[in-house]
Amino acid sequence: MTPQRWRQIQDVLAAVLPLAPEARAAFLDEACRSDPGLRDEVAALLQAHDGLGPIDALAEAFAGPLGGPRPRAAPLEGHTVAQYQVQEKLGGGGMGVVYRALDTTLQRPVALKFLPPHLAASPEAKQRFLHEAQAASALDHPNICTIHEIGQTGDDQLFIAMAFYEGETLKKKIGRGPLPVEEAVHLARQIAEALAAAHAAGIVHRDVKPANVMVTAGGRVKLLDFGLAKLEDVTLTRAGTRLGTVSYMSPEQARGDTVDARTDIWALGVVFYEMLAGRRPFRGEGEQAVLYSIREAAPEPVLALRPEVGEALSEVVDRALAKDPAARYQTMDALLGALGGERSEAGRARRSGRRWRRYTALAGGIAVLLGALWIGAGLLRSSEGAALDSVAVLPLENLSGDPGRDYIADGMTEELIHTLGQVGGLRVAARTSSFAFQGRPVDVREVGRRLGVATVLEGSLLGSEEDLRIVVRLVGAADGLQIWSGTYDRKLEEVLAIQNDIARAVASALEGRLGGEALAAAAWAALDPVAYEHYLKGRYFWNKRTAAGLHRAVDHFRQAIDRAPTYARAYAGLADAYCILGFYDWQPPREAFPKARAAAQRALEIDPSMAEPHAALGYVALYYDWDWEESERQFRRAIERNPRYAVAHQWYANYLTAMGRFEEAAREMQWGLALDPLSLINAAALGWTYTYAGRYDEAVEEFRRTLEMDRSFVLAYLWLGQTYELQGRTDLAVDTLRHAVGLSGRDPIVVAALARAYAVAGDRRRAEALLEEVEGGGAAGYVPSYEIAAVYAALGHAGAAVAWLDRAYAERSHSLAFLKIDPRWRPLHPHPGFRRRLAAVGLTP
Amino acid sequence: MEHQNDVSQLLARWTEGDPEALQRLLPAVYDELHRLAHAQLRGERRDHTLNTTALIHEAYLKLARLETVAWPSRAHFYALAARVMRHILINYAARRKAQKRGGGLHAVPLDDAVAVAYDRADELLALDEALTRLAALDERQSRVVECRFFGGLSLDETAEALGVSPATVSRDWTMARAWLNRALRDDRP
Repeated sequence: MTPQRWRQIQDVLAAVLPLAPEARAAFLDEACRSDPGLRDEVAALLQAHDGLGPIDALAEAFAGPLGGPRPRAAPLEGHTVAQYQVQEKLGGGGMGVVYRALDTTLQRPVALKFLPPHLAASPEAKQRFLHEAQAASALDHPNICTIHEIGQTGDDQLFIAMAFYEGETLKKKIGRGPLPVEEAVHLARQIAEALAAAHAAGIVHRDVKPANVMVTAGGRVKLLDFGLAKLEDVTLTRAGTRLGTVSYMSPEQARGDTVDARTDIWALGVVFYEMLAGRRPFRGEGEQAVLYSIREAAPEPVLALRPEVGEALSEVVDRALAKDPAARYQTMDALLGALGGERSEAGRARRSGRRWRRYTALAGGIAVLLGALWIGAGLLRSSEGAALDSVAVLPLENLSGDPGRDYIADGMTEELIHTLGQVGGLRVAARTSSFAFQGRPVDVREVGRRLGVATVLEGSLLGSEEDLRIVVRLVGAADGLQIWSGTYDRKLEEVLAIQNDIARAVASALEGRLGGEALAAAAWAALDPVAYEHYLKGRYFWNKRTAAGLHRAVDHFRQAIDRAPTYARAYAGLADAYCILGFYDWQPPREAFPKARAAAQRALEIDPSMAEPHAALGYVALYYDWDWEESERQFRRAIERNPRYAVAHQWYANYLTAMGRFEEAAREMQWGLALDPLSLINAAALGWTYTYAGRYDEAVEEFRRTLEMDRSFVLAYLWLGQTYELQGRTDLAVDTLRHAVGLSGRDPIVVAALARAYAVAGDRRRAEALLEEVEGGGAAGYVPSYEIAAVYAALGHAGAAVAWLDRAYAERSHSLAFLKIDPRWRPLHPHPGFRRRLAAVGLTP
Repeated sequence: MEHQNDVSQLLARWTEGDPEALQRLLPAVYDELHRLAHAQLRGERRDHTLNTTALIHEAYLKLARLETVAWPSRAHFYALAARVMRHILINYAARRKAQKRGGGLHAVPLDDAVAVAYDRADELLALDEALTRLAALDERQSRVVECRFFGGLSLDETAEALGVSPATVSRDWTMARAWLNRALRDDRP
């Protein structure tokens, strides 16, 4: 092999990797048509890429690199760190290594916990850690491990100096078998008291497990590692794996949902169960099985395993382990009551007097807040007054090591921007600006300053094969402090669900901070979450721009409306979906467009301030009523209402194109693209405007750029092929359109375009064969009259072309809006029948 | 003193792209890494386990401290150390293979990177050979593998060390991984 050959192979491999597996073979056939050897090479490499091979086995054996954990700078025993003389390693876990050490100043033993170096990798991460740890260190309770100091070594390694207790972990204790019932209750009560105190201070532990429970020689519980679990969010574990055990995760944690204090109630339930039964309630072969069991399985009742526990205690365990947080004890105090007795005076006396409050996604943020106030950091107070009414979504970082996943990271970023953009009152920085920060380390404060936003959402994507791990953080731009964070472990196909979860969590986190003021609280808070979910799914499928997708979108918008009959956005979504269905003839225009209009009007009745329904009305006027003035009026109104609404710019550009106002159209389209540079349809539509303007080279350039974003975007191939045809590059046109036909599953519009390309190329036989297919309704079962007319025009059958245009008119095909400027009709311009049609739609040649 | 300046100068020259400087830098890093790895072989460690990345990190800490040298960045050091680590592990693997041919000596009871080099001597030597072949096709891709595999560098660090964008590293890694998986599979008896 030569370097040149290797580069050639890589080019094809890079192009084929992002494709869906089923689309790869066809692509390879196409790309390597003249070079079967190349095809074999790429196919073999594809296989080597997709599966695990020798290098992966080696990497596994070396247990490190390959996107693995960062080097751990564990100081060796005998070294001195600050005033601490490190003596002996006590243990190590995901959150760092613990040593016994001697505090040489105070001459007392301490436990030193060194955090993994990457936790302090950036100033933000470090600050976040410090605040978390300091919040936890402010907890003063006999059952909570005392934190002496949070410090930093000369190597920038963070450590926590804690009280050293003689004793053992509960994990070790349980390892010897079930505990006596009285002892189990005694320990559970102490854990509950510690957690009650933490919850009162607004801190959720999130990682209650036997390994985090020290039991001193005197039988006293010391709960460890408060709030540190949150920091795992930033841990770069090997792709797809978790640190530590998942056995104590609550169902909401397992789902990657936001958690509140009730997650600790669950975890305590698991620990209590384990103490009593001697085994964990949720088990399985491997992590996924355990997680499944947590989400779905009912544990064997403790009573069945150990009758002496008694019904009362067994019920306490059952209730703590309710899958639905709302069905659990709602407070630790309630759980303590059920365990027999009030919270002890020792615990109560130390309560800081704060009233228990309902925890939301903000629990972590509150912890940070309180922590910051306690240590008197002035930073946060300054930001507290500022309204958190704006957000910039930084591109999610693809840390999975697989560039084939870049599209997920980028796509999710885009969707988050889009979805958050739907939240009333929340200003979301435009994509262009956000993506300007891609691929380089950023300081959120700089982002905040440059984009003028109060918060920044950042995150990363990990995982391998089918698994996805998305970690996101919402950070205040003024102070770099974390407001909220979430970790979502899902299957690849559940990207959408994660998006929705994140957007919802972010919105509610911000809403919480805003006190429901700056956000359109009424519209948002009153919204049925199921309706919202349907709405988001509707938008997601709408974005797909496929017939099936749009029908599903309609379905979801309708369900959203069923759940929430005054949900204006769902009506607007419905209007948009019908618009596109009518546009592509995926539903007869006579059905689709009137429905679009009705939905848009209903949306405006509910919320007259909306922009989207105006755009939809403009769309209906353009493509269905051929009412040019009304169309322009509605588009302009939509843009007036929301100048950042990219779709309105794009649709208005279509109008301007139809009117032959190409300069304005291109400008408008560029506007839309600037607002929404990652939108495939926007990018392709700019090319389409250039095509009609006769700027073919620029059009080709735009289509190519679009295809670089997504090589499976049929429309771009369709329009590219048509543009080649208009340029007279018929060979290219035929090649491109053949590819598009395959990609589209023989969509009749695309087949018609190919037929026309053959006709122009002089291959009448093929053209007519395809024409027959299209006239018969083709695979999709509908007949694109306008496109068929274009084939007849190319074949020189002016009469047939006009007849099909008549039919298109009778069907009220949207395409007639372009009758005047579509270059394919030029040969027909003198034809009286054509001029009649032109006049019928209110156009003059 | 002169030694320190020397190292600093070499580093500066290396980061400016002088390949010869790298060759002269290697011995210092090599010595330190080798000493650490060797200490492991002799069992001079307690219950903590070191892997390649830990070894390299430790070497970095020592060198950074001892030499008061202005390393351009950790990433640069890691890239350098990754290359050295490759040599060290390959040496161990080669020696192990020779031992086996010679009738086999005592097993070395280790559970770290060096032990893996022993256990998987054949595979490691095959990887080394394949990497050398890859370097002939695309030098940078083999560097990327070195950084990530032997140095444990993240995408971003590799990018910083090699002076390219993370996207480039990501693509290089994907391509190199596929190529190596294929090459190693085909090579196997």
